[in-house]
Amino acid sequence: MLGVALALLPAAGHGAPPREFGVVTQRSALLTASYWNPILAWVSSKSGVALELKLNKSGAEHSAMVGRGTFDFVYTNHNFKPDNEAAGYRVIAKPRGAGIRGEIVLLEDSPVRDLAGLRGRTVAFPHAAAFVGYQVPMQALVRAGVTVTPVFGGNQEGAMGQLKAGRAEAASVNSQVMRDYAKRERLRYRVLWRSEEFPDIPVSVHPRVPQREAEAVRSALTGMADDPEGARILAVSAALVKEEPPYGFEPATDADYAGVRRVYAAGTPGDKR
Amino acid sequence: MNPGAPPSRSCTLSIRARLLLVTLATLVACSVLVLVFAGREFTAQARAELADRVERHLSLIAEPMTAQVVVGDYEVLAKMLDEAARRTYIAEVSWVDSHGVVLRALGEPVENVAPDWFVRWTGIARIARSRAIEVGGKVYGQLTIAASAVAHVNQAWDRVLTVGELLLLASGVLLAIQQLVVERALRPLAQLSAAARRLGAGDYAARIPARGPPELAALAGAFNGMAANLQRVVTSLRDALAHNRLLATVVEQSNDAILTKDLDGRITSWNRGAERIFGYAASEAIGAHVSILHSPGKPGELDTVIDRVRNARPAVFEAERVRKDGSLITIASSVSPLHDEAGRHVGEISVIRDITANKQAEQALFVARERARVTLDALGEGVIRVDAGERIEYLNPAAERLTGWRADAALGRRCARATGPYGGSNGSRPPCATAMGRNRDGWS
Repeated sequence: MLGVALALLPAAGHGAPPREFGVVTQRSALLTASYWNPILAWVSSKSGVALELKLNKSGAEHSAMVGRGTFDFVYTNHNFKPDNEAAGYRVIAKPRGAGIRGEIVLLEDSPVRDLAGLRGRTVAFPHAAAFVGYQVPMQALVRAGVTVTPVFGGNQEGAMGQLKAGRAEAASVNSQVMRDYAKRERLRYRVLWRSEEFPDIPVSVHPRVPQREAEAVRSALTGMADDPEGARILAVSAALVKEEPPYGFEPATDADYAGVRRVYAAGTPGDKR
Repeated sequence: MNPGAPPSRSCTLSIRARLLLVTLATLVACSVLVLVFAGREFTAQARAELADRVERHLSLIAEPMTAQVVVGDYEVLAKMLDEAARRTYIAEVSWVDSHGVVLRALGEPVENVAPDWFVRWTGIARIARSRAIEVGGKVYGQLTIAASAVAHVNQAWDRVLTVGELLLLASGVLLAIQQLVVERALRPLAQLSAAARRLGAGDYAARIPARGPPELAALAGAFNGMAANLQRVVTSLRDALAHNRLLATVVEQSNDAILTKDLDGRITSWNRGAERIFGYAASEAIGAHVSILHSPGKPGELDTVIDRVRNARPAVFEAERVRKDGSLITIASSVSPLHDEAGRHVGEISVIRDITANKQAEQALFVARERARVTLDALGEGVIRVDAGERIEYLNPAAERLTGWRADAALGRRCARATGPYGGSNGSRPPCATAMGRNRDGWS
C-alpha cells in the first residue's frame, strides 16, 4: 500500500514570516538555490529583513507569479512584461558589471552560418517569458523572416542543455549565463547572432513591502561587495556558476529598464504561450 | 563384564549403525554450530546491508528531491516520495520542511516469511536514516527513510535456509560415502564371520583373503593363522582319538585282564578280559579296592602289592587271586607304574593272564612223568630212550647196570657212533648196542 500524507504542522518560525524573494531560474533550481541562498542569508542578516528564496518550476510559472505580485522581492525582468506591469514591482538594484545580451548560439562545428540557416530548424529557448532568451532573439528572427521550430528548456541552462545534447540546432540564451555555462560544462560554442546590450536582470520590490525594508534590502545588496564577508559569499556563489567579476549589486531604477519594457511591449509569437 | 549378562542395547547395534549414529550426531552438532554462526554472520550482514541500503537510497533520492524542494513543487515531491517508498525494504519515506509541512509515503508491507524465533534472534530492527536538505546554507527540511527489517530478516532467513540445504546435501553425500567406505571396509568382517561359522561347523579349512584395510587384513591373517592352528590341533586330536580308540579297543578286546589301580589300590579301569577272568563287571570293579581279588588269608600279600604300587616298581610274577565266585585262580601278571599326561605317578597298570589251566596241566604232566619214571625205574629190563638224532634222553637204572653207563653221563650222547654198539665210560660198550637195534624211531 502506497500512500502519501500531507500535513501542515504549526509554524515554527518566530515573529513575522520571511519575505519571499523570487528568482527567475536561469539555471537549474539547485544551482540557483546554491547561488542565491548564501546571498539572501547574508542580506537577511545585514538588512534585518528575513528573505526566503522562492523558485518556480518554470519560467512561465515564475512569470505568472510575478504578474500576480506573489513575491515580495524578485530577481527577474519578467515584471517588465506588459501583463506583469500591474504588479507594480519597483527596481532597486541590479548586478554590477556589463549588461546582458541575447544570443543565438550554435555548437562550434555547426554548419549554420547565419540566421537564415536556422530556417525550419529547431531552436531551444528558455521559456516564452525570457527576455534575452526569447523575447529579444525571437523578435530578431521575426524581423529576419526566419521561422524556426522552438523548443523550451524551462530555463537558460535547460535550453543550453538541449543544444549540448543535440536536440536543437541552436539555443537562444542570455550571453552571461551561456558564457558561464560553457565554462562550467566545457562546451565549445559559436555565437550566430548577438543582440544589443541590455541592463542585467534587476532586483525589484513589491509595493506592499515597506519602504524601510525595501531600502534596507537594497542597501545590503548594494553594499555586499564592499563587505568582506559579503564579498566572500559573492565570490563563492559566482564560482558555482563560473560567473566573472565584478560581483555584487549596484543601485538601479525602473528608468534603467525602459529599453527592456520596449522590447517586451513589441511582443513575440510566444507571448501567448 | 559379566559374560552371562545380556548385551546392552548399544551392543546390539552394528558397526555401520554405530558409525551412522555417531556421524549423524556429529553432523547435526556441526550443522547447528555452522547455522548458528552463519545466522549471526548473515544477521550482521543484513543489518549492515540494510543500513547501507537506506543510506544509499537516501543519497540517491536526496538530490532529485532537493531540486523539487527548492522550487517547492510538493506535488512532484509527493510522487517522488511515493516512488522512493516502492522499494521492498522501505517502510516509510517522509519529508518535513522547515515550515512543518509533512509529506509521508508508506511502503508496501512485506510479509514475514521467517519464523518468529528467528526474527527475535536476529534482533534486526527498523532502521531510519534522516538527512537535512540544505542548499547554499539553507536547510529546507528533513528527509527520512525508515526501512523495515522484515525484508532483511527474510533475506537472512533465506540465506540460512540455503546454508542448511547445502549442509543437508553435503551431509547426505558424506553419509553415502561413509556407508560405501564402511561397506567395503566391513566386507572382510562379513567374510570373517562366514568363515568363523564354517569353522564352527567343522570346516577347519575355512580361510579368508587377507585384503582390505591393514587392520582388517591383519585380523584376517590372525584368523587364518588361528584356523590353521585349530586345524592342526583338531587333526592331531582326531589322530589321538583314533589311536586312543584303537588302544581302548585293544584293551577292551584283549583276552587278558587289563586293569589299573590308583596309589591306594582302588581299581580305576577294568576291561572285558578282567570281567571274564575275575567275574566282576566293570561297574562293580571300578572304584572297588583291589583287595577283592586277594585271598583274605594272605594280608601280607596285599601290603606287598600296595607297597609296590606306591613305589612304582615294575614286576612280572605269578600269583593266586580270588574270583567273584570265591574260586582261586592262578594268574601271570605283568605290572608297570602308571603315569598321567603330566608324568605324575598315579597308580599301576596290570596285565593279567589266567594260567590256572596251564598250571593244572603242568601239574598233571608232572604227575604222569613221575609215575612213568617210577615205573621205568622199577623195571628189571634196561630202557633207553633216544631222540630222532639218536641222542640218549633217558636211561633207567636197569639200563645203567646193563650198559655200565650212568644216566647223567650218557644223557645227550649219540647212542651208536660215539662208542659203537657196546662200550661205556669204563670202556664198556654204549648201551645202544645192547638196548637198540637200528630202529630209527629211537625206542627199542
